[in-house]
Amino acid sequence: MTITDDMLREAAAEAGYALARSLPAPEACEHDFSPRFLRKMRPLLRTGRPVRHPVLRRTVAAGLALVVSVSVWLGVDMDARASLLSWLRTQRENGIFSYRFAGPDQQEAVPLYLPAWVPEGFVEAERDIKNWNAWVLYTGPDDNYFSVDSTWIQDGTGMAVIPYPGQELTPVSVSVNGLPGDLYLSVDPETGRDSNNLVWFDDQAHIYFGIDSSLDGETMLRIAESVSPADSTK
Amino acid sequence: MLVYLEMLPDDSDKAKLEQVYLRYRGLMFHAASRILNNSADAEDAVHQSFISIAEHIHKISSPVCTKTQSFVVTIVERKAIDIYRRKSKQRVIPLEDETAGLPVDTEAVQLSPLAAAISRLPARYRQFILLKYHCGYSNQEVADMLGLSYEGAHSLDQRAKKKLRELLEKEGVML
Repeated sequence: MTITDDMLREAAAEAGYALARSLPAPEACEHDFSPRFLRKMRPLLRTGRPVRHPVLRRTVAAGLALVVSVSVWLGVDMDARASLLSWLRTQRENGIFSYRFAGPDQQEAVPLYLPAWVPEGFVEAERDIKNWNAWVLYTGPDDNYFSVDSTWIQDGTGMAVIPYPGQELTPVSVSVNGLPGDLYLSVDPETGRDSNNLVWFDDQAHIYFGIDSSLDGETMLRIAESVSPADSTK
Repeated sequence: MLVYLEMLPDDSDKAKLEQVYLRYRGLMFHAASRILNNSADAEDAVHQSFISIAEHIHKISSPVCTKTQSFVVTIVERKAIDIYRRKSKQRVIPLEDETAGLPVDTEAVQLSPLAAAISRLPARYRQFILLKYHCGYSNQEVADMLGLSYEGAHSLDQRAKKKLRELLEKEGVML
């Protein structure tokens, strides 16, 4: 009896279909993957060079209200797009927020931006400067920290914000010196500490900024409002 | 939350991997759990599977389809069995490995005799057949995914076909 490759291809397709039908539908298979698994998966889900160091993570508290004296709340908008279409945020399955960017290719190094104001007791601890991203870490009392980075908005780049297992993220639209941004608040389930992230976008400069921090949102926004090109802070 | 920025040398591959991950990770965990009965081990199988999937993502034309679904299940089945064997301290896995894989319900779907025989093959043989003849991977690519040498993959190809002939002859099926 001769079994040809064509026969196998046809039969294998049937068998593959039967195998798929023998298991529950993918949408019926829910599982809260462990932080350990998510940490291991992260390098696989990104291509190229990662920017952010692992950040502490936080849950969004119900009924959250932040009083901010210097920024404007624009409300909650799950899918947001800048008027100049340089960035697009979408919410994917399992609460992941994905950003896609569009902008010109940049040959020069992204400018370094630093905060002109930092909370008391905080000092610069580390810098990581690359052509397309400039990142600076500050540490302070009680193991608190925040980082500030600036990144070129270029075609083909993107970013994702992934919630801790079992947690939901709700981006709160903010304005930083008139620039649109999103604030994410959560709690690291392993440490119980705040782990917040603020991103805002400068369409004209083709740069987006980020602050990762264990500090509260109001403080982060105050830091953000003081961020300016490094030369100007000297 | 995890926040990361990617430079995307190939946006389509990255997007595909992300879609496959989001769509099938739960199913893959379910499949691995049926073999391993241990949550941590099942997650390890899923993680190792995505390493293989990422290395061969270029061959996936449609991230969400039955073909991709059977592909990821086949991969995680292999990884789960490998973990099971390591935990059982079975260091040598013969090519004649007769370990059964995930059961296939051949009653719910009317299958041709050859397709039914493929479904009944031991796991290793079935995995090879599905990866090569259904998913379209080369012998070398399947060898990578199954942890075989190229020669081992070629030999497995021949053995799988032989096994199929035996199954069909035993049932009196003439193709």
